[in-house]
Amino acid sequence: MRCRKVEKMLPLYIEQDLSAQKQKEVRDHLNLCPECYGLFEEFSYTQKLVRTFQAPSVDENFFNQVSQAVRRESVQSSRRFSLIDYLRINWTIPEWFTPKTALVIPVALLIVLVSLSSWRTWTSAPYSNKESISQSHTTVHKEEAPNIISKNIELPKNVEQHSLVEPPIYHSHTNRAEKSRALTTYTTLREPLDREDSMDLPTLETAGFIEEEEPSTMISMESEEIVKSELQTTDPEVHIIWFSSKQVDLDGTPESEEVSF
Amino acid sequence: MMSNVAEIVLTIDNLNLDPHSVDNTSQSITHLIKLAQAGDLTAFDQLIILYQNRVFATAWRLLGDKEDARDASQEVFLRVFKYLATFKTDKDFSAWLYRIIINACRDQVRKRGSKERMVSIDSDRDIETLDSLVSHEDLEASIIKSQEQMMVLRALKTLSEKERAAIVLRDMEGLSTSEVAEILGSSQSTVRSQICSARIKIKEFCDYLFATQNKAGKR
Repeated sequence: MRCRKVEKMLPLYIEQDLSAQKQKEVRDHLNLCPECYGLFEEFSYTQKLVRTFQAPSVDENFFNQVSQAVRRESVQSSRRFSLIDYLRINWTIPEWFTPKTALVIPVALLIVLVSLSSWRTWTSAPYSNKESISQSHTTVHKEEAPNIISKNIELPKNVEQHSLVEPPIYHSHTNRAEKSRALTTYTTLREPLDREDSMDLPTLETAGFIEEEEPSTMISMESEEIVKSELQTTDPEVHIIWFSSKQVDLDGTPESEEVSF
Repeated sequence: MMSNVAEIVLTIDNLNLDPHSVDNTSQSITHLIKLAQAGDLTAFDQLIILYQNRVFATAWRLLGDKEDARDASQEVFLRVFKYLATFKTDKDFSAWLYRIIINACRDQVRKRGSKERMVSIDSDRDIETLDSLVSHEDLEASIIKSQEQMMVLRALKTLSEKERAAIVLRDMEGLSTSEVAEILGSSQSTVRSQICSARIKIKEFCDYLFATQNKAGKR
């Protein structure tokens, strides 16, 4: 170790504030270098002065003055109402509740809330890729297809929405008002699509025909056969297949009564 | 409650322990603190008696002025009384007390202003205070001692506030570097750096004074 380096370490060496390894290196150097040893003795002398630096004792009146000041403070503090003091006295603050945790907990809650909010926004966002469209088709057609139109769901503005727009489905117990509402919604949704696209979709005439039917007429049907219909959407992975019971009316027009997927 | 306080004080008096070495009576002191936390003013008086010299000495070393040290010490005990309810008895009371002393002295310096601090270096009050420390049995030794004390006091005043706090706690109060770091809220390496710088400044100041005295002696 060089003298210059030892000189820098001497202020810490005199009180053993260095690591054991450096203490040893400085000690070895001091044994060999008289100049550095002289400097060490100078530091040791001033350090001894600092160590033995005495402070005066406090005077006798000090205790009385402080004690009286404390009693005055005690009286004043008892008169003051402090919400924090009240909470501190009446509430047991748990051990883990420190200023750090007081900061961490709201930040963690905020992160969770933001994450939840982002997740909900993402899941309810319009379909942005084929995978999500395919999944939504499956879910919608299997589970909620009969209710799509009546719920007035805002559909994505792309060609895939063709497959979602289905003719209204009527049952024998469907009342007239419901039929009318479903038909109006269906018509509104279908019209712009029919103008743009020539896909083989169920026609308005079919739905219109059903609307005009009376439940009593439907009950009186004599013949019935199951018809399989298939619909190809623009997504090659999405095929819509439905079965309808085709009943032959008096004038021979087939009627789609019930659709299942 | 009074009898409890009396027993504790009696125990401490019998042991004749300096507050620096109250490890054996830490339980008694903890008990005193708990009583004071519960509002027992007599117990708090006993805490004042136990710690007043230590608080005043540290304040005097930090401030270098007896009146300022007295005011700061009184402020320290008032703050202790005010915030004692927040102190957890499983923590180190001395470290907590030192932190309050450091803050109170810092506020005292700001209250008086740094200019006045520099003026008071050679004030008569300092000399009077230091004279009271030495016995007059051996006059020559007393004079030397007084001069050395004066030299250290003046050397301390050349340090920055942080250096002074570090050197007082480490070299005069005898705390470890880690304890000083915890009290000052700094890292150990920062404290080591401040201590190193302070020791160099003290040595240089002493060298300068010795050189000046030698020149004056030759004339």
